[in-house]
This record gives sequence, C-alpha cells and structure tokens, in this order.
Amino acid sequence: MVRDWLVRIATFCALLLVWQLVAQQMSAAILPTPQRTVNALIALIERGELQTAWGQSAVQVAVAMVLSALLGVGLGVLFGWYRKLDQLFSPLFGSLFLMPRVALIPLIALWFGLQDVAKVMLIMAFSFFEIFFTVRNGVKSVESEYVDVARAYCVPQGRTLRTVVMPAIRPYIITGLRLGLVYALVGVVLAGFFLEANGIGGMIYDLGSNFRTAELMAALFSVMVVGLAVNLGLRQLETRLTPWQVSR
Amino acid sequence: MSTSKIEIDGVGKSYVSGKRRDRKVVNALQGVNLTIAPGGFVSLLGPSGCGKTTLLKCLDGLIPITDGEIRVGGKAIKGPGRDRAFVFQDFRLFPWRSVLGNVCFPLETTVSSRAERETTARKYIEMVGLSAFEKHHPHELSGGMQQRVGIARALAVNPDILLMDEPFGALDAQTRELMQVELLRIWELTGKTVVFVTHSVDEAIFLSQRIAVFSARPGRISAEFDVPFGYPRNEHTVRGDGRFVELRHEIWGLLKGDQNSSFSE
Repeated sequence: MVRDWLVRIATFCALLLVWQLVAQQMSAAILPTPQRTVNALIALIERGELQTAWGQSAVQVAVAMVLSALLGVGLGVLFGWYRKLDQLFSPLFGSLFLMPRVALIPLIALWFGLQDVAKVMLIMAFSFFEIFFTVRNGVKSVESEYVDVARAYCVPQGRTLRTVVMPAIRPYIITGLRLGLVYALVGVVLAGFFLEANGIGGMIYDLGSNFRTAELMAALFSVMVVGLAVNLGLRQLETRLTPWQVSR
Repeated sequence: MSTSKIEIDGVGKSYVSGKRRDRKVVNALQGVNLTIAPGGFVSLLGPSGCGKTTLLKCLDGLIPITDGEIRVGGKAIKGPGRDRAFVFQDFRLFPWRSVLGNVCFPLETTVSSRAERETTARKYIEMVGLSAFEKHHPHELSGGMQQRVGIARALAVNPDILLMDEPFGALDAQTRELMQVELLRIWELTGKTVVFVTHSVDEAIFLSQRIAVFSARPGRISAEFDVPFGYPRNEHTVRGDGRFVELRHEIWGLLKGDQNSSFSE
C-alpha cells in the first residue's frame, strides 16, 4: 500500500521533471512550464474566472443530470420490467446510443438555440443513455434471482417492483449515475465549444484560440480534478449504500 | 400438524429448446406419480439434470406442468400458494435487508401490522437459533446461517408444506450435518410436510421417511424406498446401522446402473 503510493509519487515527480525539461526547449505558447501553469491556475482562481465558468457549467450539468436521472431510471425500470416494451423500442434506443452524439449538435442548435436549454439537451444526450441502459440491464439481471423469491411467496407484481426490484437495482442506479455524470462532463465541455461559449467548455475554447496556453493547461487540469472527484465521490456512495456489493 | 396430502399424478414437463434448425422437445419429466402423506418427509434423489428440481418447482407452481395434475389437499394447484413455501439452494436472501427484514418479507402481503410481523418473524428466527443475529445483514453471515434465515423465512408464512431444493448443497460437510440435525428437529417441532431434493444418498437416508429415486432423460421416478428408522434419529446410530449400509448400497446400485446406461447411449 505505502510502496504503491511511493511509486505513484515518484512517477508523478518524474513526469513533472520531463515536462519541465521539454518545456524549457519550447515556446510558452506551445508548452508552458509547470511553474507557469501553476501560476496561471492561481491567477484564474484569484480573478474568479475559473469559479464563474464552473458555476455556469455546474448549473447546466445539474439540470441535465436531474432530468436524465428521472428519465433514465424511470424508463430503465419500465423497459427492464416489461419485456414487450423492451423488444419494441430497444433497437431504436440502441442505435441512438451507438451514434456519435456529437453529431446531434447542429440539430440541437436548430431546435433549441444556443443557450442553456440547448446545452441541457446536449448534456442529456450524453448522460441519459448511460443511466437508462445500466438501469435496464440491472432490472433484467435481478429479475430471475430475486423476483422468483417474490413469486414463490405470492407477492403481487406491483409490490415486487417496489419492495424487491427497486432496492435490488440500487447499485445499478448509482453506477448509472456515475457513468452518466462522467459523460455529462464530456457534454458540458462540448456545449461550450459549439453552442454559446460560456462555462468551462467556453473558457477552454477561448483560452485555446487566444494562445493563452498556460491558462488553458490550468483549465484542463481543473476538468481532470472534477472528473476524478465525481468518480471517487460516487464510488464512495456506492459502497456506502450497497455494502454487500463488490464495487465494479 | 399439516393435513394436505400431495398427489402427483402422471406429471410431465416438456419444453422446446434450441433455435430453428436444431429445435427439439426436451422431456424434463414424464409420467411422474408420487403420493406424499401429510406431515411426511420425502426426498427426491437423483443425479444432476434428472428433473428433481423441476418437479419441486412444479410442486410450488413456479413453473407450469405440461401433462398430468398435481393436487394438494385434493385441489389441483395453479401457481404458487401460501400453503407451500420454497427454500432455495442458493438461499436467495435480500442483501439490503436484515435477517429480521428478510424473514418479515413474505408476511408483508398478508399481515398489515409491522409489530405482528416482527413477532412472528422473531419466533422463527429463534427456532433456527439466530436471535442474536436478527439485525445482521446476509453478507455478514456464514452460508449455514444464511440458509437458516432461508428456512425461517419459509416457516414464517406457516405453510403446510416445505419445498427444499438442495438446501444444504452449497454448505461444507460439517455445517451440512449440523443443518440436517437442525432440520429434523424443526420438522418434528412443526409437523410440516417436507419435500427435500438432494443428490446425496446419505442425506436422503438420514433425513427422510421415504425416498423417490429419479432417473434422467426423461426424468421419472425409477424406484421408491421406505427408510426403516424412527425419529428422533441419531446420526451415529443411523449411519452405523446395518440397514443404513444395505439401503445405501441398494440405492447406489440403482443410480450407478442408470448412469452407466446413460453413458452408453
């Protein structure tokens, strides 16, 4: 355990060193040194720019995630439970899922404009399917195992759905939300690129177009940290809520 | 004391397996006849895949039969009923519920008062010796303890008939013997009819009054044996008895013959 961490820290330091050495040979507009990047990060935070950008993105992601979660869990349970529904509509959902969702951006812009509504739609296009498919597969896989128990003890369908299926799929719901949120981050960055340029995506785009590379690296670093935090936080929640489950 | 006689009358179960080209009808059960007296302890014994578990699930009504009739207390069964309770081989406890919550589960559809449910559940949790663990969750219990919960859950609905599908199959040898003694104690205490599926000859002889031996493809009962021991049974005296050895030998011969014939097919 301690050794693992020592190796990790050593690797990190080595990478920093390589970065420093390479950056010294290059223009700061292509690759700024670690020192410059850290300074840029501090400056971005001091001016409040990073917070404003993340604030805008957070609102967009939050709204989109609430809608995706409601729709994804609701439809996922419905499709997992009613096989007929699944047979009829799954090919449609499946092909939408497989389509590169970036391709939807022009259509979303035509239908919903460039403002927040459009951004929420785009983020949903990324997060909804993850939640929906994870939950649907969850319902299908708990079906045989636990639903048989309910049948054997003459528990009616509605009650089985409420008292057996819903708690049984809790780990799937949390996994779905975690994946959905990770993809929502992809969505929100793209939304800033292609729709109205605000939020973290807009910031990254502007910094890049103006060759403010040190600040750009700092902004990218913040995306990485947020992604890690989201993943870690929800994994924690997963083990807290379903202690019997070995985390996937 | 239970009063429901079980009559299995010419029961067959077939299903279609495979896709298009190599579609064929599999006879899981064919012409099965068996009568089980109220309060009796009968084992269904046979190799894996002989249809004994299928018959048990049919008895519970979890899967429909395609031929014949199963009557419990003179009435043909049409699906799962509250006069029968099923104990699963892999326990099938709900991991998100405590021991108490798991045993309360089947009562929730019939008993509206929570306090009343818990009183009933506690009575059976005590019967299987887990009172100190009622707040524990299944993943905190050993396999043997988990199956005790499974048995308590089945007893909680106060069924006439306990249907047990290789309930001790997933347990280690020592726990298994302990559970067998426990089960006999509970059976004598409650007077339920027990139908017990197993592939262990020793287990079948030690536990039951009567053994129905299955042969495979199509699954049917090839012989029935009465076990010549009274209750309460003591492990050591039963296993050391000459009649145990003789019966064991006879049943083994039958199973082996069946296996040889299916090998040569």
